[in-house]
Amino acid sequence: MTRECTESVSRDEAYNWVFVLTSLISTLVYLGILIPGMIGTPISDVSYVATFLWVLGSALVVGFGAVVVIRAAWPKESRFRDERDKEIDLIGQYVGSSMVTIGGMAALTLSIVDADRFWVSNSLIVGFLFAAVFSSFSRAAAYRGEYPEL
Amino acid sequence: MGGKPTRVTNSIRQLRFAAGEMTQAELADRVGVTRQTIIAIEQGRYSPTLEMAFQIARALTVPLDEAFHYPDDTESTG
Repeated sequence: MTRECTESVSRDEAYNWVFVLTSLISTLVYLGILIPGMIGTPISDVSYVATFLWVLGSALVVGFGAVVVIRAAWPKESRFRDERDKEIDLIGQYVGSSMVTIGGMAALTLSIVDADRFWVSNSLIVGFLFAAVFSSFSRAAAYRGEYPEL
Repeated sequence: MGGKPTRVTNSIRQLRFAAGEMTQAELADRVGVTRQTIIAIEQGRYSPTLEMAFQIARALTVPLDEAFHYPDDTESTG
């Protein structure tokens, strides 16, 4: 970890960059495996549970490892969360919860109309993945000075 | 995501130098925030809360309106 990097970025911002990368890569990998698998296969036969669990597990392991490295490498004086970090975290939570709500509403609607379990599950999964991507990107933008008007 | 530009400006950088070349790290330590927050405030990327603004002004031993400025609309319209 270079000194220049630890000086320009707070510890919480560094954690968020890990979240940006892991959430984006997880979403791309999951959709990259799922969508081609849907072509020419009946929806009820498309396998997604193992893919989702592998993607989730890998993201958690990589993310946790990166957080441990950052925690050890960051300068002592930047190892705490201040007011700005908390405000920016709230922006991310606000954006993320909107995505989870949209995914939940879609799953509920699909369940009411008796859609295949694949669609119900994937509405929730994609809702969670998008929540992770959009919340981390909105935090990254806020750290760089792009405050959304809430 | 459209950022909301702040109209609050500040003279923290000049006041730090006037206060015996206080570093960003020293000011951050006195205010109880990270150095990155002081950098963001100096660069106008973050508007501090009123409480933090008072703490910054106090750490720099100046009144609040010497550290932070807000344009007076009546000057430009009048």
